[in-house]
Order: sequence, then structure tokens, then C-alpha cells
Amino acid sequence: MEQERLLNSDAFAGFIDETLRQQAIAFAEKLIDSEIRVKRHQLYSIPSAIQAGGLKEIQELVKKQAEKDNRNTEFWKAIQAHIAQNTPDGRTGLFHIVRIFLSENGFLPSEDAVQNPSEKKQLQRKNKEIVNQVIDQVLQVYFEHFGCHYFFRIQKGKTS
Amino acid sequence: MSISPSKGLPLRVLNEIDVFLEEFYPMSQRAGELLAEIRMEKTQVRSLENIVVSTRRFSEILNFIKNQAGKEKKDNKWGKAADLLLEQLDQIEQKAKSLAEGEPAKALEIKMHASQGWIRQVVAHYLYEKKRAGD
Repeated sequence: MEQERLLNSDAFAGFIDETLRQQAIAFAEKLIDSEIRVKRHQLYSIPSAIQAGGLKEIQELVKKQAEKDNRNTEFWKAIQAHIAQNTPDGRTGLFHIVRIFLSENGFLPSEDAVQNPSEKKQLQRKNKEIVNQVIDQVLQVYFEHFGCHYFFRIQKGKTS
Repeated sequence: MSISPSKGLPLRVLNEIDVFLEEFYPMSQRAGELLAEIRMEKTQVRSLENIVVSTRRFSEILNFIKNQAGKEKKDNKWGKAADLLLEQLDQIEQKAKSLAEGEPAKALEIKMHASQGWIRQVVAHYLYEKKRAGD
């Protein structure tokens, strides 16, 4: 992938600043509306995990936390669903958001154009890899948007 | 993460931003007054100003305000100012979008330029009000 071209593109700057923010806010609002709450320090573990190992590390963290049976479990299950590849969150999941951005901006070869089944499978695998690489690049900012909005709204609810 | 460097806005757009900021002045004034009224510390206001002038991401400004307002502490002054500041930044963002004619990168550049003008107005009025109040 021409990762450099992507990361330096105007489209990517706009995506990070606006699309990603809107999606992260929508996700935070969804959790708040569903009364899914988490302790502050639990959420703080997300940036550390991302810094340590990107998508893989956060998937590990989320999996471990979601398996526990405590008051934060619902929150971690929601995050798990949101960042999964075959996400139960469908079109609102992070994988889908990034995939759509890449497709629309010509950074992901179209799978529909390939007829040969084995070539198609190969391309699907390659595209998945590209999406994961880009998720690695945007995860930190995504969860910055999410965390800031989530605690802003929770705190506002307490004081209003 | 790398974001494209500023490519410079056309003079026409810069003029439109100036006109917008002139019209927006009473609102910036209100934000400065509010910050003075709630006795926001000068260092806090300077922190916001520093973020606005140094970041290349508009959302970092929003996140800074939300992050401060979202902290659990007694008498959180950011909590009192956040709604107004975020609302004004939202208006700046909407204006930027209308001037950018569907180009996200241009919108980002306009937002950054306009928000820098905005924070200068806010800080100037905050300092003026603070002085008037004898703080």
C-alpha cells in the first residue's frame, strides 16, 4: 500500500479530524444512552494498550476485560463488538468506517471487479490487511475522541 | 501522525474569514467575559490558546475542552465554560465547511485559521475583563 501517500493525503487529514470524531462521538453517545458505564481508570488503559501494540494489543486487552464478570463487562463487550472485523456493530463498527473511507478515496482495490475466486480471496485478504494497518494508525486518535466525549458527557450529566 | 502542511488559503477566502471574525466578535467577547466571570485562571486560558495556535487538528481543541470539562473535580471551571466554547467552535466549523466548497482539507485549514483569530479575540477580552474586575 502507498501508506505514505495515504497518511499525507488531504482526505486522510479530513477523515481523522472530522469523520472519525463524528463516529467516535456517535459510539460514545450510544453507550451513554444504553447506560453503559465504565470506571475512568479502565478507559485510561486503552491508550496505553494502543501505544504498546496497536490493534492487536487492544483486541487482547478488550478480550480479557470482556471475559471478566464485573460492572465494567458490558462496556468492554461493546468495545469488543465495535473494533471486531466481523463486527456485530455492522456499518458503525471501526473496521467498516475505515474500509469505507479507503474505498471511497481509492486506497483499496475493488473486490467486485475480480471474478476468479482464488484471486478474489487473495485480494480480500490483502484489503483486510490494509484496513488493519490503517486502523493501527488511527486507533489512538479515535479513542482520544471517544474518551474525551464520553467523560465530558458523563460529567455534564452529573452536574446538570 | 502526519497531516498535510498548510497550502495557503486564497486571498478571497482569507477575506471571508476576516469578515466572519468581525461579525463573530460579540460572541468571542461573550466567551472572554464568561471566562473572566467564572474566574478561570490565566494559565488555563493560555493553555487553550496554546493548543489553538499550535495544533494542526481542529478536533484537538474540542478534545482539550472536553477533557478538561470531563474531569471529576470540585468547582470545575471548564465545566462552566465548555458548552459556550464548544458551541462557538461548532459555528466556526460550520462556517469553514460552507467556505470550503466540499473540500475537507480546505475546511480544516479554514477552521484552523478562523479558530486562531477567534482565540485571539477571546483571550484579549478575557484579559480586559479580568483587569476591569481588578483580578
